[in-house]
Amino acid sequence: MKKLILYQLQPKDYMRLLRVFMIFLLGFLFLPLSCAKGDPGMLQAENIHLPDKIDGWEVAGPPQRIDHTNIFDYMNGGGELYLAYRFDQLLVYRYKKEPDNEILVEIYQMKSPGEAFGLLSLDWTGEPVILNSDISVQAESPVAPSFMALYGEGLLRARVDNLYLRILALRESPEVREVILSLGKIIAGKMSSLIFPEILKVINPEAESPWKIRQDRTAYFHSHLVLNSLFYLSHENLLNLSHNTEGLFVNFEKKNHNLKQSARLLIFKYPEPQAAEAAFKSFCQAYLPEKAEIIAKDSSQKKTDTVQVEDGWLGWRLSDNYLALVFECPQPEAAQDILNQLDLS
Amino acid sequence: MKSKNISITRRDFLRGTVGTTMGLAFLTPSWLSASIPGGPQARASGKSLVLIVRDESVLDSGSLVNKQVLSAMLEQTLIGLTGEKEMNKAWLSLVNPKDVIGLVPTPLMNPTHNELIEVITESLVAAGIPQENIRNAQGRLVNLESITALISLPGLKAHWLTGIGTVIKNYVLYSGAPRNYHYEDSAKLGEIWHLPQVKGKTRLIIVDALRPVCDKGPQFDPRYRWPYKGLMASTDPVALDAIGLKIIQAKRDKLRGEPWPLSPPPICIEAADKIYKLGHSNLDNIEIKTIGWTQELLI
Repeated sequence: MKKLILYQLQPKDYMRLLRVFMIFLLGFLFLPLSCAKGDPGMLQAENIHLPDKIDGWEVAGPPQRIDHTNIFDYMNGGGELYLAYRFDQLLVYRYKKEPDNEILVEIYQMKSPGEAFGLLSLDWTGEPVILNSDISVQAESPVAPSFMALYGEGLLRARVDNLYLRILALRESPEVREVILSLGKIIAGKMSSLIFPEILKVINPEAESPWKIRQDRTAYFHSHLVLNSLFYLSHENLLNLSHNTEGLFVNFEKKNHNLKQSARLLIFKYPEPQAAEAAFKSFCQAYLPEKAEIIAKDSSQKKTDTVQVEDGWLGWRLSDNYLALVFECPQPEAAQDILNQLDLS
Repeated sequence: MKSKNISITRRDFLRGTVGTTMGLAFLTPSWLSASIPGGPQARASGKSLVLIVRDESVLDSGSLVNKQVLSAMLEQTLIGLTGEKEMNKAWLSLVNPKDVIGLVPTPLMNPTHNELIEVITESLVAAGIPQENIRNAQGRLVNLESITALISLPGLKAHWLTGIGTVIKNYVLYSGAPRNYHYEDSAKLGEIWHLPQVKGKTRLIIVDALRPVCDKGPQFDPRYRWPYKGLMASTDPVALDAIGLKIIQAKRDKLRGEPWPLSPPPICIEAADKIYKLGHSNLDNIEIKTIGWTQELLI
């Protein structure tokens, strides 16, 4: 039967088949290469050339390469953090000089600068450091600090385009600090810009609002694991978060004489409006089961509202492919005030 | 195994209904049901004893461990916990010379100090345990069948997936699938203590609280490690984690000058008590005894 069909093919059909086969073959040959090399325009960890020696510290052999297949062997459960962001690979260098000390250089190659921003945003504390003075912030954000790098007690954390760096000494001294910063500056020499994820732009702080953003608490993420480390909702993924969603955690504060009040805003961007609606429905069923039915009825018309729960007023807004939730508000007006500072169109 | 449509949420913590929801949410497999006793292990008084021994001079200004001081702290710990008059007898009230003893230190994030492993090994040998019967029992490749007694030696630390990553979590590699306990199933860490090759073997837990870490990582950040200079010990793993959590939380609040709750909340502690019956999580059922340095005790 197969032979019969082949005999019916014309010469031009053979040429078409050959072309398809060649395209398939080329794709097959080059796909793994392109995956290993990462997205075009992104920095490649392999292209960072660190010195063999720096101030008497000597690198111990070639870098260790870690990817998603062996990240748990390298750092156990810590690997979940990097896989929760869009992670390509990690190169690890170890510098030795003193018997009981080591400088560990970890270069995490992420798929985009937003991922590196997200990792740094998980802790904005520390001493801000400029590793590349040629790089200026394209535009300050009212939502998050514009730090490039943070240092504290022998640990440097930095974002260099799509690379996230951790350089850690077992024992810190002024001399060790200088070596750490020098290594950071070598890597940051490759930096092209200091940008923020687009989702930060959905917040337009209103000057007259008493609710002010606390920039040093803002964090960017994709996964419910990371969300739970910032603000616990549930051990389960109630909001259907994944690499396809973007999440922003923002802390708002209101100060009145000696009284300080806080509210937490979560903004999620889904691939499409239906996904945002499905996530809201899932959230209501698990988090507000006693009100889920009423909310489901109302939400066909009403895309924003507030409800009182144990820790204050909870507000939400569904708009296009965005879902915003605000927690721990002292009054419903506070929730509305914060939600009114969003431009989710 | 997870029951459908029931989730533990933030609201359960606010309402104090975590235990109830956990009971409904987690279906216990039959092998585990058969293993769980009727009630938590407890001392005759009904309370679990947690002993905290601290010495300001155990670390020098460069954070190096003074082994002599540490050895004395270990002696105080064993005598204080067992009520025996000297260390050899204290050890022999917990293990016997025929035991094959597995020491279970923490390997990553805030590793157990080698000096602690050394002084414990030396004192066990001094008590008459053959050196060849003492081995490192941490890791998924350990043959637990041949080990008759476990001494768990976790480092005190917070953990980014489970809230606290000290005592109950220290056996996670015995599960063979640690990733299975990273998500909502972190509540199930207690079930590992019921695995046939693990159950009933833990004779003592000594928490290395010389330099605990109060933030959750996942990777080590030296800014959140502080010199508590203590050892904590108990035979109740849940009570130890409950007190460790109290210390970590107090340190976090002190660092920030405002409440800085651990997130996610460590549900594994309450589950280890309420579901797996491994010990006491309620502070009312825990007797805390302290010896030595009292500055910034945090309890």
